[in-house]
Amino acid sequence: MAGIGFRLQKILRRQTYTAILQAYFYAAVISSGPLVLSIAALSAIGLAMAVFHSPEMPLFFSSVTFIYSTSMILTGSIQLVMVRCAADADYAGHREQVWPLLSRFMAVAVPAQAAFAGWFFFFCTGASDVFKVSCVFLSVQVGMMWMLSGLLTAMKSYKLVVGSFAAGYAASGTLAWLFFRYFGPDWLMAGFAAGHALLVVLLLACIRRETPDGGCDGKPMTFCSAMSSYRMVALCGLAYNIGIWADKFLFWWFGDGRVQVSGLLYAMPLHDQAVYLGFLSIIPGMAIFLLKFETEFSSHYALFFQDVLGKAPLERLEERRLGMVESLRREVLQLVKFQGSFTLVLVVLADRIMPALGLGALQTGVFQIVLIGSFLLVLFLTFLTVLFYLDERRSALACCLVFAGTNIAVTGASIYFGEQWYGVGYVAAAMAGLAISSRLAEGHLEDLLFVTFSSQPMYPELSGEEACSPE
Amino acid sequence: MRIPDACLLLEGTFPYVRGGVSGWVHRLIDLHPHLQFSIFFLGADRRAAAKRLYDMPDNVAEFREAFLFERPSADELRPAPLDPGTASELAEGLESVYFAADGEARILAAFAFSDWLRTRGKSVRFGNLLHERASWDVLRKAYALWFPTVSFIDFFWTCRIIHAPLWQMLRALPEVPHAAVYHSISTGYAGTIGALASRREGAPYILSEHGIYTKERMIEITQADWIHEPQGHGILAGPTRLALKNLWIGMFAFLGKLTYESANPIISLYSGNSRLQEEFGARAERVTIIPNGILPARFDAARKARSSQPQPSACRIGFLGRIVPIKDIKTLLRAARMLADALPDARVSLHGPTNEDQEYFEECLEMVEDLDLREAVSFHGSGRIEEILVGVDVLVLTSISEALPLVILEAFACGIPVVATDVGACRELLNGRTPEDKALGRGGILTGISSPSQTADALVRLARDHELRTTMGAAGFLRVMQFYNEKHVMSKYGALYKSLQGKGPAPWQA
Repeated sequence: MAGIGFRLQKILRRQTYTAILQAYFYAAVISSGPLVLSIAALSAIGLAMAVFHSPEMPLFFSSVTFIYSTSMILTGSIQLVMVRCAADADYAGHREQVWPLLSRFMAVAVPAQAAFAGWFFFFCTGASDVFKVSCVFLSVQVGMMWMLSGLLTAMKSYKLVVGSFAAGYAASGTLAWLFFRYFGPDWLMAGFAAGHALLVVLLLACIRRETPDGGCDGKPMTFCSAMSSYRMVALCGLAYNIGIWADKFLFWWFGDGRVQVSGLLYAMPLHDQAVYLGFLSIIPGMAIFLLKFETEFSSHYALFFQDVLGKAPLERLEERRLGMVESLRREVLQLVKFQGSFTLVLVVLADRIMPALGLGALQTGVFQIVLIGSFLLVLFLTFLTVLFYLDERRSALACCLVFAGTNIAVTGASIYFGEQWYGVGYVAAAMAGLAISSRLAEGHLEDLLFVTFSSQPMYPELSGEEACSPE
Repeated sequence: MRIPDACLLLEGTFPYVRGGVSGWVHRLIDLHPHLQFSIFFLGADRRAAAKRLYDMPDNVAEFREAFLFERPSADELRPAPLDPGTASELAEGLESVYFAADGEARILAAFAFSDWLRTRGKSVRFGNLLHERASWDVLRKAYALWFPTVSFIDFFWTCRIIHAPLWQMLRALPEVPHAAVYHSISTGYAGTIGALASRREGAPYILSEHGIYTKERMIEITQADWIHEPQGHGILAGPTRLALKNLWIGMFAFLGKLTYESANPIISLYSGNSRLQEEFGARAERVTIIPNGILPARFDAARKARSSQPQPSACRIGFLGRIVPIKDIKTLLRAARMLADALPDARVSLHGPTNEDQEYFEECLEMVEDLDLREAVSFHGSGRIEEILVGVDVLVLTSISEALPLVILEAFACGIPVVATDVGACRELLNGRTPEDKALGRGGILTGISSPSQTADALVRLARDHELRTTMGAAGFLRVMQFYNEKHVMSKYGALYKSLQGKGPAPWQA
């Protein structure tokens, strides 16, 4: 993520107003990544549902939601590991390894995704065959989409990512509508999936353009070796995505007011709408986080390492460490002020916004709770990123597990206690994640010098055996 | 099996490395066939010890080895889980060594740490020293105390690298064989492990040094540009470099002091080295001299051949040694010019390998041309010493540094007088060391370093005076026979082992 922040700062240095807007836009899109993209897409579909009152829409919406959420959970961990390996290869000057790496990961992820989606839609739902096949097809496209966009992000091709998504989603919407109009409701999903196929093709083309052809120097990691050497990262991705989606699934399956759409596909249409909209409020906070916080914190981090390698005396390293702590405090404060006031405004205005979107009082309450949860989530992500920066994978995993566990437990309890408590699980999870991640991050920053030096293996070629780093 | 009479602690020498000390060790063992030896060899790494260059004598009952600069096992590198008590004991142990009030307290702390580590066995590993917070805190404290302004990363890595062989040494301690007497041939790692082993066994401990290890390391480190560059980032700036060199030197000085405090007697080859040992911390009352010797019988034939020769018409001056700067051949050549001015018939022949420093040899050849010495001076390469000495009337040595040059003893064994610079053991070889030795008379003439005129004067004097040559040659011969006979000097070690057997290690306070 550091690379992205730095690149954005360069864009900012152009210092024209449009350039700044552009930069914020990229930041918003990339930093919130797949999550924001998918939620935005779902919100858009949800709003479209309000416009096209068609009986097929709930099935379509639930299916897309299910595909997006499960594919994030399934490929989330794999994607993180692959991006990390690709970034390592890129850093080592072996960009040509990216393509073989990608194909190895896809060879595992695509069949897994297809098998899961095939099993679910054919055995657990009751839609038409065209629709089911299209769902499996979309699952595969979405799974690839996460991996490819993550990879391109790691290669700092932000424009290409954003451009591809814009084109892909435009095509998806248009094709879905056209297929619906000309082939009938069963083909709605087919059109939507076809648009995603275009998106995947575009992303693949971008990666092809960004990676050199020809023979591969050195050996790219195999899927298994990559997963085992980055198992903590993989588990983080899994736990985090489960944490994000756990409350939604629990509501669909156990909440009051749930609607069975088809087989195991459930929905809480109005509640879902409020949740997605509330979640989207993280976009400005994420943009700030990436642009200001990340770049500032990473600059200090870079200075620290420059001085470590630049043979500075300990006193100066200590100053640099304090600089990091200071910048973190400053930026968190800035984030609290900015995202806090944004959230506050939305909470206050919720009474006016929600009815305008056709949502009622109960949804307004959910929206307000989710707004608060999203505010906490941005802060949680901030500290989680610090932990990743410091390569404290064990701590990062602990935070993600607490996040997921709290969400499951408290959401479960909220369902038991009744509708007025809905949404508390998400808030509690973000709060617990924030509490533990901020403590751990501060602790590790306190210990930075010790860890930086004393965890170094004495004999580098033995780093695997000399188990002093978490993995 | 009976306990060996003596355990020799050898660092980087016999049986894997050829050299003067290795040969000496071999003869020490050979000349005591009735004694049983065990040997503990300390090397840098196994690669340098692939092949034994010496046969192992039959009276070596046990041979063991350890390699200090090898990578410790993966197990050793993985920190063992420490309970808080052990961790704080580790920290206290380290602190008591590094922040000891004085040198003596530091040695005692090091002994205590070694004992503590031995009782802990494998439950405290090198990985703990590398990665434990306790050692980090000690390291930071040491940094703040000693070098608060130098490059921290280099300080950190130098500390690590210094400690790896020390830790390996402590780990190797149980491997040191049992013996009635411990005898190390240097200070440093071998000296330290000898001290620890003798404490473990409650056995006496002898140190005999050929060179002075601490001084040799000091010179090596001062001159080195190697000071470790951990990640290949940049050149070390002056103050940091100096500080890190001091860290290394301080470590070796400490090992030396620890060895000297533990050993009794502390033996060197000649009084100059005894003084150095005292300078590096040896107590004067423990210091004694057992010189190197030669087997004079080897030169009997040469001596007889010389005495039956008719008196030569012109004096033949001989130099035997490598043609290298330390021998200061250029001073010898300048002296030869002056000699030729005084005695045009005198001849100077140089015998010894010329390929060790080709450039220096060529400079010498040019000098011969420039000084117009083609007639008077000749280079002959290496040859058999006994044969060369038959044709030598005066041996000359102009070295700027020597230890105990055997060539002087060999010349004496043939009855040849010597002109030598006043370095190393030359003074006591030429003039005698003890009163009874001095009473034998002078075996030659001492000259100043880099003084062609003094060397030339001495040579002229001896060349002109056949009588003086005979007298000095005879004194030298008697000196070798009485004080530098190898059989005789080596037997002192046998006697020492016998007399110390059953006694405890050297007492702590004098």
